[in-house]
Amino acid sequence: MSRSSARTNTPQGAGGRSPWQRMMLMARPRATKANAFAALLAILLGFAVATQVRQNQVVGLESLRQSELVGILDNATLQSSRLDQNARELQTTRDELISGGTSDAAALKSAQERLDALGVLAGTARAHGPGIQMTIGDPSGKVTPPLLLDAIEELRDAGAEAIQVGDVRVVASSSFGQSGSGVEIDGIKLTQPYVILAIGAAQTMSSAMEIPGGLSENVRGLVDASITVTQRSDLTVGALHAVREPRYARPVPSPAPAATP
Amino acid sequence: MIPALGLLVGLAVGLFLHPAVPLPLQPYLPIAVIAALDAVFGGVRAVLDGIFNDKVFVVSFLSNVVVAAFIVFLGDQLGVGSQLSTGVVVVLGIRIFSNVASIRRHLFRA
Amino acid sequence: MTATHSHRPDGSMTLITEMMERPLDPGYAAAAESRQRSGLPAATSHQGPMLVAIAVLIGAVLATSALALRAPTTSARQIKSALVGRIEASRAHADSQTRLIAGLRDEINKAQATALSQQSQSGLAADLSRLELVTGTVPVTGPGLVLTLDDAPAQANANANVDPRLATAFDGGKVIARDLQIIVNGLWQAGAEAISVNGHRLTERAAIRFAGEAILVNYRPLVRPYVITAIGDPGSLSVDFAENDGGSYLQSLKSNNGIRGDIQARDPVVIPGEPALALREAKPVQSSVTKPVPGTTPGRAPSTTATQSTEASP
Repeated sequence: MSRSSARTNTPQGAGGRSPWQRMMLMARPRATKANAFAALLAILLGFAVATQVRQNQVVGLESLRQSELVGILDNATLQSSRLDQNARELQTTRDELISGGTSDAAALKSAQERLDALGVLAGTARAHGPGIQMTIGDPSGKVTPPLLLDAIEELRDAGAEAIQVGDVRVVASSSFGQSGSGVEIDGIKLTQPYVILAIGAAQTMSSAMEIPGGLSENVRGLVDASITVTQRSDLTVGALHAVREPRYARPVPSPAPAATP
Repeated sequence: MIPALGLLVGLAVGLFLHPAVPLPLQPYLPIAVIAALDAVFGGVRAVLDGIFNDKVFVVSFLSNVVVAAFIVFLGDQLGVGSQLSTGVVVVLGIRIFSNVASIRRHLFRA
Repeated sequence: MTATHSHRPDGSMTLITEMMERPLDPGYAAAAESRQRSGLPAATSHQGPMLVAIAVLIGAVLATSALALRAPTTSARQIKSALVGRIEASRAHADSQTRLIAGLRDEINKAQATALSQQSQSGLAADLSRLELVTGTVPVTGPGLVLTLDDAPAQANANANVDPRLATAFDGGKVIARDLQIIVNGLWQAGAEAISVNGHRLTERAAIRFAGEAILVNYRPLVRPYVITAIGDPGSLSVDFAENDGGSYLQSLKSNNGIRGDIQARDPVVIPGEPALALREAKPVQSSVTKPVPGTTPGRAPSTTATQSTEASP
């Protein structure tokens, strides 16, 4: 017959078994060399498929241009050295605490210092130190929340440790929004001129504001807006942030046993 | 055997001398290579089938290369260059596969 | 119906069937036939000089084209791979230092906790743990949501080695740092209590910004997709976010630029901490935590109140 039918009725194969039975028969594991080899090949195939799919999803550094890579490398090196310094300091502190026989006073002191530092970071403590003062004049109301948001991110990237805009302290959870023709932070309306104080490495922050495409350029591109950046050897960030007690976030319980009284 | 050695000699010559390919010919190089491979595998299969003919081999090789390159060139002129070259690659690829499968059957009986 | 001579029912497919059933040049068969008819053996010798010459030619063509078509490792590519190597090494070092710092912090905290409890300074301990949570130095868990951002699908497969001078058009389908900034801002506005991006906790000092086309959070480059995890009121966080400027910005990104954004409520989520958070230049003005005073005068002139000098950190 030269005409092959498109669908034959279920052919009973050798031994009169249905195709399902034949499949089940084949699926039974047998300890033969060929079987083992086939299993190995199947594993390799699965591995190759998984790798290829993964490769397709995750795009790494290779796709960036050389100039971008140089920038990232600079950042990475800077961060590395900061971490190294941090680690050294902590090591010293830890050794002092552990080694000292009368370590209680030292522990108390280091706890107090840590509390003060966290207070600055949380916005519940005033801070002072070197930094910059930026004044953004905006009589025509052209400054937008994303612009100020970007300014804060740039400052943070340049190492700002405590930031204040007008009377409002900027912390991790600070959010910028539109309020009429002006900007508000955490619901508190700001009025122009926006005076921003930031404590940190004054030169680094000042340069960061002036880079091409940076904040200063963006502000000067707005109608009637102006910006001045002044470095200060010691300024005070005195605005405080009212910490909202977290209602849903709890610390991850650590496995360490609590200190017995 | 001798032609196989000749192939190796040619490979070595090409690798060491590294002749520069003129720029206008570069786009046709991949197609030419695949066409050449098709002719080579066809020749090997003919040997195994016992009907090898060197004149046919030479003619098929040269004409394969020329026709494939011409089709791609025509496609470029008409603006369907990539589609035509895809078609050529598909056809030659299938032929290579079939010839290699037949060679495999001869050699390994599997 | 079945026919007698070569009238195959699949005659219209001769192209394909020829290709698949007769890959061998029919010239061989024809030549063999004619040779056999004239009494010669079917195959010709395969040692003829012409054949050898052709073989050499084929070899040369193969080798030449292999060399010509291979993508060259230009010096630019070598420099790039060297840079990538150094970045990876720096990142690995930063990760190990972070782990070290986390371990040290842990030990210090334990020693402090022991000392504090021994001296009945539970208030201090409680303040410490509260501030640690708020500033982001410790990991937190709770109900929240997971927002996954990714470039528009066409961009994800863009050719990695495109000449940068040709990439002129603004790549609207790519997620940029500004997008992340605005979306995170919207989440804070909607009442998020803790946020992390690709596993990096957002603290008061963490910056989201660009380096070329890569997005960095806290100086660490991110790899797509961007996963933003937030803890907050499960009932209102996503709703408030969808209604505020951040949510509508995300919506317009999705509809206008094809950027993929997907929000999923999840309970619980775990957000890691940033144990390396510390101060360098800033010093607290007073040694004890001051209660937040609304409407404080902004510190303009450097009027430092007398500092009960806590020793400057080493």
